[in-house]
This record gives sequence, structure tokens and C-alpha cells, in this order.
Amino acid sequence: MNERERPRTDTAGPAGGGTGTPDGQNVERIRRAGEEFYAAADAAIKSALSTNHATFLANSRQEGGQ
Amino acid sequence: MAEHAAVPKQCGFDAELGCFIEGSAEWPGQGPSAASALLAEIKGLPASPRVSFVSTTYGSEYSAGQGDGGESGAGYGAGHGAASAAYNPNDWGRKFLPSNGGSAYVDCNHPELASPEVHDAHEFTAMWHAMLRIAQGAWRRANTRLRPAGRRMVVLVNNSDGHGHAYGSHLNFLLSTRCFRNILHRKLHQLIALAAHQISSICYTGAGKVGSENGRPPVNYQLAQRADFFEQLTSVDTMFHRGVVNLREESHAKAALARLHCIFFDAGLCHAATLLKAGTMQLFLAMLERDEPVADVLLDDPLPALLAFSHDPMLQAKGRMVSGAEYTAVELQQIILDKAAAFVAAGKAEGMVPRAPEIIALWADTLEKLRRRDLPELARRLDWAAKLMLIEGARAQAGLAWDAPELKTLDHLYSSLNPAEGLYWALEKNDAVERLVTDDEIEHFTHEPPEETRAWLRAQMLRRMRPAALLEVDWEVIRFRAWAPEAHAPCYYALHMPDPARFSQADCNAALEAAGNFREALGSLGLQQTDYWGRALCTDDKQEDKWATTERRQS
Repeated sequence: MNERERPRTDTAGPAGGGTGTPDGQNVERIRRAGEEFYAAADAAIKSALSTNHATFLANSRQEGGQ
Repeated sequence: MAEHAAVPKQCGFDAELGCFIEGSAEWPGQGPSAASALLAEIKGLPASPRVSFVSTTYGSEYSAGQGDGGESGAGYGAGHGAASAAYNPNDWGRKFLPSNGGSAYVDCNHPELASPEVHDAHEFTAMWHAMLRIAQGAWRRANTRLRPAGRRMVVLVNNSDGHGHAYGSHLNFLLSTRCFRNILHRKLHQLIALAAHQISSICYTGAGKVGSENGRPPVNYQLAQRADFFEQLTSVDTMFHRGVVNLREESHAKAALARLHCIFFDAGLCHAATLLKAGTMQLFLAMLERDEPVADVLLDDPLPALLAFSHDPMLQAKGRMVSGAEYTAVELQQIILDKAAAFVAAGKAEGMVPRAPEIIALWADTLEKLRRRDLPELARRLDWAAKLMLIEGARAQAGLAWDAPELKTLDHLYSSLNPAEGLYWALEKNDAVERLVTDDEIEHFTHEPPEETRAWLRAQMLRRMRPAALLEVDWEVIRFRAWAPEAHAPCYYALHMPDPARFSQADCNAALEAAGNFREALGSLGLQQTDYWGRALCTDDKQEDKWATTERRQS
């Protein structure tokens, strides 16, 4: 389970307003929503992941600011 | 009650962008060149090297000799930049935009966008995206002119480079001077309460960041990009020893009015995060303006609480209050929201915070989603949550560790201005994020000023002035020269706009209606004849005749 899927277990209850403990349905809902969300930016992410990261990150160094 | 107890909480921003050029092996990044090239492609005044410009912000003076706002055919060489001009590194090449009354300049080698004064949080959100759209157009034009081929400018709407450098996204709010002095000098519990609001609000205003900087403890992911860089509760400095509450006293207005310069927040792209950033500050400051009690929201030690909140995207970290109670950021925000909701329900925000009930509703709904840590829903409206969802997806698909450079690249490219590259724009295009302002509203502010503030008259003046006649443009004044028929030397004029809430479209239309033409209307709005240095001369009964003659000569 990663941070995206880990629901709160306090008295406030989990995402989706369930019984107060994480359940399979809730985890599944979050996973499905995560996949749909990711798909919306899929092409941009693929493009970003194909970047030369070392060069990009070296170039991204700024000179500070306010 | 003091004279300005109901000062409208007009607001604005001045935001630095990350900016660099890829493709130069011998000089990576070239931030200064990138920033000046971007600025040169933004259309504004002064644009001529003959026009002297004075900024009261820093007391600097220089001749603008760079670019022409997109009409030049000149290309940019790799070494093109600010080096040839005498400049103040904090405020170089500033130009004001006839399109919407805003401003753009280079600040510490970053392109900086300063919005015109806006009326409400919705306008703020639309204006934020409008200014980014203006920068986007400039980026597009600048990229086509980069030489040699193969170089590419990257512009990021972020606040830190991952190498330990932060750059600001500042907000500005209009206050009565009484309230300003209370917060900063007389009622310091109000200052600490303001800090507590800002700090706990990162649960919805944070732009999200992979890793930590500035010597802070390691963390995989955190809510806010700037949290690692605040080292004091208060400070007048902005480049080091940054304070959660900035102490700058520079009103750009008459003595009864003040401006709170807030350097705390991140630059986000999600509409809801942007609207809440401005709107909740408007409401909190309105409560301070009315001396509402806030002594129960004082963090005992705000800086550790900021770090704890930011470094815990699970939203479980607690901050200790002066009372001894311990609250998460969301719980503390809920207490502040309850106060604000009661304040609005009692009608106390009227005249100060337009559309306050809408802000309250969005605030409450967001806190409810945060309370449940409903990440799929939060990702639709908060940048930190959207970025986390995407990065978690990438980690799962590619099996990447948190310290993989790919994730930092994604972190940066989330906010790239390049619509084909920026992850946010992909989300927006596919309706994966909420939109609270329409595309038409954003587009409107790329070429029109806000109607409710002095930005309206500023833009109208800039549109009508011959560039060569302009002597000085700043937030509260425009000075220019014009020739009188009997004179052998130019006459000088100044229009002071000391009240940001005046000089709106309605005010100017009323003056126009009474006067019959724009020039005469200016007279009724306070245009003064001055000497060269801007000192007022005696009123000249023949001034209007001079105007008429000036127009004939110019035509």
C-alpha cells in the first residue's frame, strides 16, 4: 500500500464515508480513481520520463530569489 | 470604529517563475538569459530606451532598452541577457502592461509577474491564470528566437529548484494602516494568529514537492515548496532569513492605507487552491480588521509546526498551541473556518470580502475532503494532492524509488508552462481537475484590466499615452509630458492614484460623462501639472486648452 491508497483510520472515518476502518471497496475505489487520474496525464508523464533527467535537473538550477 | 475599518481586501500577486534554457552544455541553465528573453516578449511600457523609469519599490532608476514586447524580429543569442544594462537585480526591466494594468520584470534572475489590483478571490484566480497565459505566449515567441537551434526555454510555475534555491510567489492585501500596525506592531497575538493561519493552510495551498532542501530533515514528499525555507516568524528580508510574516511597509497608497506583503505561499495551478489562498487570507485579514478574537489559534512554536505539517502528506502531524492543545493542520483550519463562517454569517465581511459565502463553502468542502484524506477528490482541486497522485502512479508503473531523478523531473514538469509538457495542463485538458473560473474569464484578463480597482485607469492611460511621452509609471502614479502651444518646452503632468479602490471603471465613466472627453475627465480625477521632477505646480486654468492643442499636434 502506498501513500495514495492509505486511508485515515482515525475517528473521522475513511475516504468515502465508510465504517471507520479501511475496507476493500474503499481501497479499490481509490486505486481506480488513481488510475483514471494518472491516465489523464499519461502522455505528458511518458514524455517527462523519457527526458534526460541528469541534464534537465542540472539545467533547472536557479540562482535563488525572493 | 476607525476610518478604514471596512477597507476592501483588494489583493494581487507578484510571483517569480523558474526559468532556464536547455541545450547549452557549456553554461547549464542560463537563468538570467532566459528571464530577460521572456520579459522582452511581454508587451508593456516603457518599451523605449529613451524612457526613464523609476520604481518606488526599490528606488531604482534605469533606462529600459531591452526588447519591444514581441514586435522585434531580433533573435536571442545564448549569452543575451541583462549584463549590458545598469540594473537593480531585484527589479530590472520593469514594464507595465496596457492590456490589464499589471506588470512584469526580472527579479533576481527570475521573470516576475505582478498582477494588477483585483477585487475578489475569483478575479484573483482568473488573473493568475491570465498572467500565466501572457507568460506562456511570451515563452512561445521567445523559444522560436533562441539561437543556436536546439536550445529550448523551460518556464516553471514553482518556488524551488530542488537544489536549495527558493523564489517567491508573493501576495498583497489592502489593509487600513490601523490594522496593519496592529498586526505588526501593537497586537502581536494577531501576527501569531495570522502566521498560524498561513502555516496550517498549506494543507490546501501547498504545491507539493519531492524531497526536502535547505538542510531540513529528509522526506519523500511534502505539502509545500517553501516550508523548508522559512527560518523566522517575522522578517523584512525576502532572500534570506525569510519570515512567515513579512514586515515590509510599502503601501503604494495614501497614508491611511497599507499593504500586507505576504511571501509565504506557493505558486499553484489548481483553481481551488489558488482561490482559497487569496480568499481565506482576505477573510482572515477582514477579521483582524474588525478586531475579532483570534487568541485561540496561536501556535506555540510556529516554525517547527510548519515543518511538521509540510513533511507529513498523511495530514496526521500535530502542532502545539499556546493553550496546550494539539491540532493537525486540518483541525486548526477547521477552527479558523468556523470563526470565519460566523463572521461572514453576521454580515461583518460585507464591504471587505466580495463573494465571501462562496469562499466559505469551498473552504468547508475542502476541509471535509482533507479530514477524510480523500485523495482522489483532493487531487481534483489541490496541487499537492494532484502531484502526489501522479508521482505515486509513476512510481508504481516504473518501480521508481523516491530519490529517483525521474520523480524530481516530474515534480518540476508538473508546472511547466509548456502546454504539451506540463502535467497540470494535461489534467486540465482532460477535465481531471476542477475549474472555478472559465477560459473566457481568463482570456478576458489577458487583455482587459479589472474594473473595480485603479488598475482600470492605469491600463486606459497606458493605452492612450505615446510611449515617448511617459516619464514614470508605478502602481500609484503615472507621469508624462505633453507640449503646450505657447511653450518652447514640454509641460509635465502627474496623475496620482493614492486609493486603490478608486479610479475604477465606474469612477472613470462618471468623470467621463461629466467632462465629455478623456482628457478633461483626467482633470477631474486629479491630474496635476508638475515640474520635471513631478512636483505639483499651481493650477493652470488654461490646462485644458493645452490638452486640446497637444492632441492636434500629436495627430
